[in-house]
Amino acid sequence: MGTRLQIEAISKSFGAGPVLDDVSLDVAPGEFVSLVGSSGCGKSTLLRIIAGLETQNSGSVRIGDVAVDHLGPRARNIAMVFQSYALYPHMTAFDNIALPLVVGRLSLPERLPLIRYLSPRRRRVERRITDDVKKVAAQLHIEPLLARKPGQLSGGQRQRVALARAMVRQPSVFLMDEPLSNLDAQLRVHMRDELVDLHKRLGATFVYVTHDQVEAMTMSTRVAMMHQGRIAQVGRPQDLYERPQTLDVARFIGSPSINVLPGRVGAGGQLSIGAREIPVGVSLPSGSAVSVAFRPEAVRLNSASGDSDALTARIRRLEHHGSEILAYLDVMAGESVENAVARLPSHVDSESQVPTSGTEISISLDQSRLHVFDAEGRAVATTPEGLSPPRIVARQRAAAAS
Amino acid sequence: MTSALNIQPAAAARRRRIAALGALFAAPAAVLIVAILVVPVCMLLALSFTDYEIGAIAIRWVGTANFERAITDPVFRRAIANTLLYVAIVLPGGVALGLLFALLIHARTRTRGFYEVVYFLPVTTTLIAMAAVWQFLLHPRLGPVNAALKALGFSEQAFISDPKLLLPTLAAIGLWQVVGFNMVLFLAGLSAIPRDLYDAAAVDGAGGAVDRFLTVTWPMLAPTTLFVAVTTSITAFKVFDTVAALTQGKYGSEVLLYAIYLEGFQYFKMGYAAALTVVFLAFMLAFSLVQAFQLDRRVHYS
Repeated sequence: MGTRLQIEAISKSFGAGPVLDDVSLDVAPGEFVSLVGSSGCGKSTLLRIIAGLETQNSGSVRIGDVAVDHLGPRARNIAMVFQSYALYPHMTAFDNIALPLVVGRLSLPERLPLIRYLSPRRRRVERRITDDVKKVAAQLHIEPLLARKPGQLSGGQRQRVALARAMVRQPSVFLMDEPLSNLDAQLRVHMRDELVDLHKRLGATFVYVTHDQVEAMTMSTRVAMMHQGRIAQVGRPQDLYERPQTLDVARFIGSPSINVLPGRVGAGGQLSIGAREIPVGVSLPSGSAVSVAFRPEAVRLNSASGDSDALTARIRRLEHHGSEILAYLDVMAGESVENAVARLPSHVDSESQVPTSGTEISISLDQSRLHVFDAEGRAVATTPEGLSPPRIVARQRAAAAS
Repeated sequence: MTSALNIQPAAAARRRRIAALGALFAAPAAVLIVAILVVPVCMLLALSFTDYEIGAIAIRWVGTANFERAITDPVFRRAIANTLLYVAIVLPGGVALGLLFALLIHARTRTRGFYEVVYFLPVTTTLIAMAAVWQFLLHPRLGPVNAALKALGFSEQAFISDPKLLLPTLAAIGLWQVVGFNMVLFLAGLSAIPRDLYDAAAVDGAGGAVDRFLTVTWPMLAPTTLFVAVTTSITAFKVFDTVAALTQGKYGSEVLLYAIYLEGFQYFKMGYAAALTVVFLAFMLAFSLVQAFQLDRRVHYS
């Protein structure tokens, strides 16, 4: 049912600056790929180019191994769900859903007022359209709403009607442009679930644009993070979380966002933060300035400052989230004081493990979960000290392959 | 039970006090509305049943005589027929051409401003001044329009004195003046249509020019169209200046307002003019009611 979608070296510019710069992406049949990034990164433009609503300056879009660059949106057999839902306000929900079929199955004269009554087959075609609309409406549980106009529907109901209009033609590729961002938080979480379910049921290819990394991470099989008109990284959600290739990706993915401390490569390629040496080797010339990034869950709080790699920090604030505690820290990194967040499981014995806010403590970092980025923000390979070089290479290969 | 009975008269008194206070606050506006809008219409109605003439010493109640005379008055009947014909041309023509020009101009990016100004120019001119230009343009022997007709092999036309051509000519001038205004209103309506709807139509397969117009543009413009139709019909019913400047009602070119003007201010028959004005107002009222109640139900307001 799903179709392969290939984006090959697409570039696009509006006037002066390039909006998309040599973007390539291969979406397998039935995959759910999210395009994620901050506003202005080009994700919506890319979606509009796939839909055929915008024309690229160079490059090619292939759907089902066929180049569709010369085809209009309708002929590409795609469906699109818009952020505003884009329902025709003067038509009932039924007519909105039926429109793609009416336009597709009846000729223009058969759709014009009065003249349409001359067509002998119009009745038959319309009856089949009614059946198809009702079938889709039943799938989305909106049958009681079909007679209403969009103005009489709630946000979630409009969303369903828009989905039904997209589904009714049974397209091979669904394009969704921030479909959930006009819904309130609770409904958004619910619709997220329903969309994933729908994707499973239909087996169609989904391309989903969002600025919300949580949506991208929770719904998609793969995430393509875009930054300044390029794809910064494509991969499974856990790949982007655990092995970000750029500092931008590391910062964008994850909540609370990743901690970044300034570091330096010492003699022999050893990493140091401030005066503390971290037993991690970095393949950069000594003296290079780097950014050391780590997830909140890679921070350990020690009451005793015994380890040589421990950093000094002060607890600014504690946030109790029930299942976890977030500790907001001021970390002394050499001269400067940097903000960081630590995620602590709440079942730990809070008397001994979690000091009260304002106290000075020492923290140590899980060295296997440190990410080091060079001055340009690119990920740099690190080696845990003590491992022999051949094993390190093998580990890196394994990481790259997964 | 007893306490409720005791409270009730007090509550009623308070309600009366609040009602009196509300009436006090509403009074200035109510007085103005009555003085400015209601009294003049009532005076007009009263006058229409008299034989009042400007400068006359006595004023006499004549009942419905004025209206009976109006029904049989060939000039007034011609004025009604002429006005209806004029509206029948200017109303659909003004709406259709305004929409057409707006659609053509809307897609322009660089030349849009130029076209907007050019089409809007006639709106800013006064017809009394422009009548001189039209008189020259349409002059039977000296006018460039007739020169062009002759060059193309047609015979000369007396646009302003030929009774058959007279009203279409006046209507054309009326269109010339009203189209620019309607176009600007339609342009505003077009700008308010969300681009997403056109995108959705393109994805749904309704991206062709006719489908796009019927699926998105026309329904979304319905409120604008209703407004344009109402203002255009009012403007058309009030046609006066072209007639006054170009024909002075000669060659059978009387229209409602010109007939009223003649009776009231040339012949000083204010009573009869008032009766004609009542007829005119009845026409406007009927037309507006039809538009407001019949069309409004079919218009979608988003």
